[in-house]
Amino acid sequence: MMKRIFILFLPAIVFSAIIKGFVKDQATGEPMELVNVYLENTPFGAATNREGYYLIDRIPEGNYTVIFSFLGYKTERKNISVKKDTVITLNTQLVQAPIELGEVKVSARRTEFQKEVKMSSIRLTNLDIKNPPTVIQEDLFRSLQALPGIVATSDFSTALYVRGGNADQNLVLLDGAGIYNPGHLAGVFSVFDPDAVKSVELLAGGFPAEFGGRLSSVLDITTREGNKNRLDGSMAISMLATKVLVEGPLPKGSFLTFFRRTYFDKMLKLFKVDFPYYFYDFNAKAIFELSQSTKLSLTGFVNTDNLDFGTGAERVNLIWGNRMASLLINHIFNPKLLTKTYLTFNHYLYNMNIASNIIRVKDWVQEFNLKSDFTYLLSKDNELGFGLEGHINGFRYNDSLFGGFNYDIYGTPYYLALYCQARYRLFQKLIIEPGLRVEDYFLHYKQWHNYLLPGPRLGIKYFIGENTATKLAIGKYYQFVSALIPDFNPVPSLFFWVPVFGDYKPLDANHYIFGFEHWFTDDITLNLETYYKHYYRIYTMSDTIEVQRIEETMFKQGTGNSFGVDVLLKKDFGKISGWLSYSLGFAQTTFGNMTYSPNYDRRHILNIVGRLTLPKGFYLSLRFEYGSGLPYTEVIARLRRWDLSFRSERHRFDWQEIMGDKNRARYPNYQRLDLGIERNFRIKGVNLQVQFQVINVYNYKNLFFYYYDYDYEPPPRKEFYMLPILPTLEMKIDF
Amino acid sequence: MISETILDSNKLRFMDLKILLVLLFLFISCHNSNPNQKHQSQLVVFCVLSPNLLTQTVIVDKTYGIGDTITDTTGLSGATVLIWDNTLFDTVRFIESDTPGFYHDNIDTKWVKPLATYHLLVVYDKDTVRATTTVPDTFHFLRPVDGETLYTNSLPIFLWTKSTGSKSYFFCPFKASRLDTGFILPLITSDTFLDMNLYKEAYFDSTGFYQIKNFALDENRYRYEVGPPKIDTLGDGIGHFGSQTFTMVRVYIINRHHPIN
Repeated sequence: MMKRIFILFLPAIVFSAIIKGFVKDQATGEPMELVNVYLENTPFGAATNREGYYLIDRIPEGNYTVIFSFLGYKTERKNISVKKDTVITLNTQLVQAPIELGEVKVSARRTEFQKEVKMSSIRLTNLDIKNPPTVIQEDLFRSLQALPGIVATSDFSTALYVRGGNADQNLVLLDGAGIYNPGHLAGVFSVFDPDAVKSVELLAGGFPAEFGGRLSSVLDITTREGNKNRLDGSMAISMLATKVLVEGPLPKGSFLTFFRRTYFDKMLKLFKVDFPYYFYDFNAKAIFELSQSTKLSLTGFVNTDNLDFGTGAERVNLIWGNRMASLLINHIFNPKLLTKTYLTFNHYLYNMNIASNIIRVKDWVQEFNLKSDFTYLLSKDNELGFGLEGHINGFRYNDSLFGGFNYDIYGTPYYLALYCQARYRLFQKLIIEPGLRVEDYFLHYKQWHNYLLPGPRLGIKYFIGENTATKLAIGKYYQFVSALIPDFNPVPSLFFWVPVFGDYKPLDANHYIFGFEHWFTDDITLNLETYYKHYYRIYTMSDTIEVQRIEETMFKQGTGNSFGVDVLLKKDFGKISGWLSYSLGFAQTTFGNMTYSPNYDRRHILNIVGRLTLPKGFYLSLRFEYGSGLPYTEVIARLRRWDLSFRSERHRFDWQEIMGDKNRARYPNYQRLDLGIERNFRIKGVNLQVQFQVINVYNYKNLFFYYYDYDYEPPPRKEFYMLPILPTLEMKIDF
Repeated sequence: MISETILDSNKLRFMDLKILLVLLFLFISCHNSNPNQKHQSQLVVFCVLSPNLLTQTVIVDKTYGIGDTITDTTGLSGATVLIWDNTLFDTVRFIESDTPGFYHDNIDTKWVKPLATYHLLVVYDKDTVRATTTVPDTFHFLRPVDGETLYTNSLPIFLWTKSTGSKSYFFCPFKASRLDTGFILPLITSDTFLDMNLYKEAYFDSTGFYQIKNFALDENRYRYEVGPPKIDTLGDGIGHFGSQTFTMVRVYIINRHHPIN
C-alpha cells in the first residue's frame, strides 16, 4: 500500500526544470484559458487554467522551442535554454488571427477531453451564448435551454430543469458567488447579460467535490475582466431595453462595468398597455495584478425588478432582486501550488405589498461565504485539489397577511464543507477523479439541528481510441435550501427561498452517469450520456398551506427519480458552427401516496442551433426546438362554490374546478423555429452591429395551458398560446 | 494516426445512423396523452347559520362533469333537509323555495341562538350528508361608536368585545356608497382589536360614510374561507356547514388628501 502511495506522488518528488507563466490575449490583456503550451518535438506540455496560468515540469536540460497554440490566434514560438533545477517564467500574449482552412490546432475543448473526465460538462463561449436568435435580448439561460438534458417549460421562462431536477436544484455561481434568483420578470429573462460574460460551464450532473449544496447541476459563470490596454465600450439598443458596457485599464489591472435597464413601462404605454414594470442590472468588476503571483478580483452585482401599479385596495407592489459582492484572491504559493480564495456576500430579497399593506411580505435570504480552494499540480496529467468552504446564512420571513396573520420566522444556519479531489492518470488510457465532500449544516431553530453528511464522488474516463472515450461518474449530493415553487407554474419563479429549518431535513440525491465521447475532427464532437438520479428527499410546495400554520405546512416531503439519455453533436468553429442535441428523459416524483410526473417531465427534446458566416459581414443564425408534451392535470368536473357575501349576506357562487389525477394528461408537442440575420459595419471608426430576428418563423401555435371559459354554458375549453411570430430588431455600437 | 481517425469516424457514421433510426422511432412514438378521466357526480351542500338572519338557507347542489350542460337549474329539488340543536331536540324541516336547490326554514323568528350547537342532515336520492356547527356568541364594538367621525391621519384602534366560540374575526370596512361588486379583502384576526392606521390607504381612500362589519366565525366557516380551496367541512360530502355572527358600526371618515368621492 505504501509503495502504491509512493508511486502516486513520485512525479511530485522528482524535481528538475520547470517552465511556468501566463498567457493573455494581446487585444484585451485578459487571461486565456486552455491554451496549449508545449515544447516542440517533445512530450512535454500543458494547458493554461482559468487564470491563464500553465506549468510544465520535469524538463531535462537542453534547448527547446516553446509553442503557444490556440485556435483563432496566431501561434507563438519562443526559444529557450533550460538548465537543471531552474524555474523559468515565460509569459506571452497571443494575437487574434482568422482561422485558416486546414489549420491543425488543438482546440481548448480538445485539450480538456485529453486531460480531464469532464462528465456532463458543457462549456459555452461568448459566441455560443449570443448565437441563437432570441426574443428581445440575447440571453444566457435561453442558450442553455438548448442544451441536452435541460427542459424549458415555456417561451416565458428561463428556468432550467436539468435531468429531471427542479428549477431550484441548480447552483448558479457568478465569479464564485451563489445567485439565488437568476431570473427577471418571473424568469422571462435571466439576470446575466452575455456581453459581460466571459465563459460559462454547465455541469449537468456528476459534478466534482469542489461543488456542493445543490442536487442537480452547477452553472459556473465567469465575467470578463475588461480591456487592460485601452478604454472600450459598447451600447446596444433594442425595442425594450438598452445596455451599456464600459471597460478599460486601471493601474495594475482593469475594470468592466455593465448596466442594463428595460423600458417595457414606457414602450408599452405607446400601445396603450399599462404595464408598470422594469428591471435593471448593474455589474462591475475590477482586477488588480498585485504581483506575478497574486491577483485580486472584485465583483459587484445588483439587479432589481420592480412592478408597481394601482392605488388603495388595488395596489400591487413587488420588488425583488439580488445583491452580490465578491472578492477573489488568486495566489501562486510556488509553481505547483495554486490557491483561490473567495470571500462573497449574497443577499436575495423579495418584498411584496398588495392592497396597501393588507398582504405585506418582507423576505430575504443571504449568505456570507468564505472558500479556499487549493490545487497542487503533481505533474502534467495529475493534480490534487482540496479546500474548505464556510457559510453563514441568514433568512427572515417577516410577513403580515390580512392584518391578523403575522409571522416572523428567522434563523442563522451555518454551513461548513471540506473537500478533496484528485485527478490521476493511472495509465495512458485511464483517468480517475475520486473526491469526497463532507458537509456540516447546523442551525438553532427552537432546538439545535445538525446534519453531518459525507458526499463521495467518482469520475472515470477510459480512452477507447485517441478520439474516443467512455466516462463514468457517481456521486452523492445534498441541498440545504429549497424554493417554494407552486405546482401549477407556467412561469416558474424562484421568489421564495427557504433554508432547511425546523423539521425540514436536507435534500438528498445520488447521480449515476455513463457516457461516451467521440471527436470526429478537432471541432466536431459527439457526446452521449445516460443517467439515473435518485432523489431520497425532495420538497414541493404544499397545496394545502395553512396561513395560520405556514411554518409546518409550506412543504411536502417526497422522493423521486429520473433517468434518460442525452446526445450532443457539436461543431465549435468554422463557417458553420452550432449543435444538435437530443434528450430522452423520464422523471417521476412521489409525495404522500401520489406518484406522478412533475410538470417539467418532457419525454423528447430536439434542439438545432446553428450559425452560418456569410460574406460581407453577414451572419445567419438559426434555432429550432422540438419537444414532446409536458404533463398537466386535467379538469374533470366543476361545482358551484357557494358563499354568503360579507357585505350583503346574500348567496353567490363561483365555479370551482375539480381536478383529475395529477399530471396524468399531456399537452401537445412544442416546436419553434427562430431565424436571425446579423450585419457588422464599420462607419467612421465605430463598429456597428444590426440584428434582425424572427421568432417562431412559421407561427406554430405552441400551447401554454388550457382554461375553461365560464361565460358560456357548458364552458368551452380554450387554449392560451405562447409566442406567435415575432420580429425584433437590435442595434449595437462599439465605441 | 490520421487514417485511424478516419477509420474511427467511419465506424461512428454507422453508429450515428443507428442513433438517428432510434430517434426517428422515438419521435414516431410521441403522442398526446389526454386520458379523459371520468367523473362520478357527488352531492354538494352549503349552509351558514347566523343569529343575525331572519331566514336560514341550505343550498343543495351536485358536482357536474366539465362538459355537462347545465340548464336553468341552480341546484337539486326533492332533497330532505333537517337542522336540529343539541339541547331542545327541536328539528327544523327546511322547505324547498321557488329557486331549485334553495331550502329555507319556515319560522318567522330568528331561531338560531348564539353558542348553540346545530346538526345538519341532507338526504338526496341515495346520498346523505351530515355536519355540525356551534354558533359564535354575539359581540359588539367598543370603539369607534356608531356615527362617530374619524380622521385618517389619526385613526383610533378599533376595539370590540370577545365572541365566545369564535375562531376568528373577519373585519370588513365597506364604503357605504359602493355596490356589492368585486372582491373586498377582509382583515382576519383572532385578536379583538385592529390598528387601522396601517390599512387606511386600502379601505378609507376618500371622505365619506363607511360601514364596518365585523364577523365572528366558527371553526368550519373559518376553514372554508381561509383554508385551501377544498370544500371539506362536511363529514361525508362536499360543501360547507358553518356559522357566523356579526356586529356593525357606521362611521364618517374624513380623508384630507382625498375629499368626497
